[in-house]
Amino acid sequence: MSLQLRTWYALAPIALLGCATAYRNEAGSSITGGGFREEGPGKLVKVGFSGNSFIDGRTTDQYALFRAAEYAQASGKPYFVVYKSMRDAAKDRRASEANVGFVGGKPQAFVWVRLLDEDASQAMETAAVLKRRDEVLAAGTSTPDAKDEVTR
Amino acid sequence: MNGRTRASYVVALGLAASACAVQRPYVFAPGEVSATVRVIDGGDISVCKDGTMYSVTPPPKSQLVSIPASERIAVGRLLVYQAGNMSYSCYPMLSFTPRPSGAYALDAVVVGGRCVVELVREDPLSATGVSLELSVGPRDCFARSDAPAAPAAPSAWEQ
Repeated sequence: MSLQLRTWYALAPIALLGCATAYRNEAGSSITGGGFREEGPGKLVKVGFSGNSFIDGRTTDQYALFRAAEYAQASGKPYFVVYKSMRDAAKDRRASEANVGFVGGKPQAFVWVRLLDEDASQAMETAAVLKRRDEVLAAGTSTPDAKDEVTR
Repeated sequence: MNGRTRASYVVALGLAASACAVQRPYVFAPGEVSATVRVIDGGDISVCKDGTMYSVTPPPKSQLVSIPASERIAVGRLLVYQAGNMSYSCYPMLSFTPRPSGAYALDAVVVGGRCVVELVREDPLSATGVSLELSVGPRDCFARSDAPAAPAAPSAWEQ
């Protein structure tokens, strides 16, 4: 093995460790983070995204909403609303962002999702959020107004 | 159990071992009324009744656990996060008075930098399928069952 090749093998893991958690769904979740989904009570499902210490809370928040839209798309629903907690859902107090928590510098964001067949107050349009996801992922960054554009 | 749960909500062995020494499984007395709790990410919860802590474990591949009803109890979860060489743990709890045959959902998470636990009542008549459980109050693990119920207090979500 050449010295150049050995150097590459030695540096590759270091480079990987320095990357922010890439956007992925629960099927691509790993020890470094990724999406998750848990069945909830009633008409609620909890979806979210956990990241490593190289990803910021705002991006994780946005990824959680992308996950919510993907869940709505997979369920064939054109709209959905999100709640920051089950108590908010009990009050039907809708949100436009996820709950973000930090442990050891690693952010985790989640929302409670309720799927809708029709548009409603503060509902998000599934197609619009997915379009935004594609734009954000293509640009390789998140934008401050991403949520505003898809929240009614 | 999903990847995130496996990766970050794994119960720390040391704490689990110490907890096991204190908590024994709750065993229903003959004819004792019960309620059901859906534990959102699965796993064990702790139940404190009459000043004694018990563990309650769902059946395999189930989120549902049975708990004693008709008197105020405390419920909670041990959360443990691994971050590199560091381990972070917390034990959020609350109390409430389960109704016989009532159905509830419990979730324990980190929001901001705080551990919080919330509990709602499953309500098929509600638009979202859940309603507020008005008996929720602060943890009172060591209150006697015949003592007056603790006054309802805002949960961590409302603070």
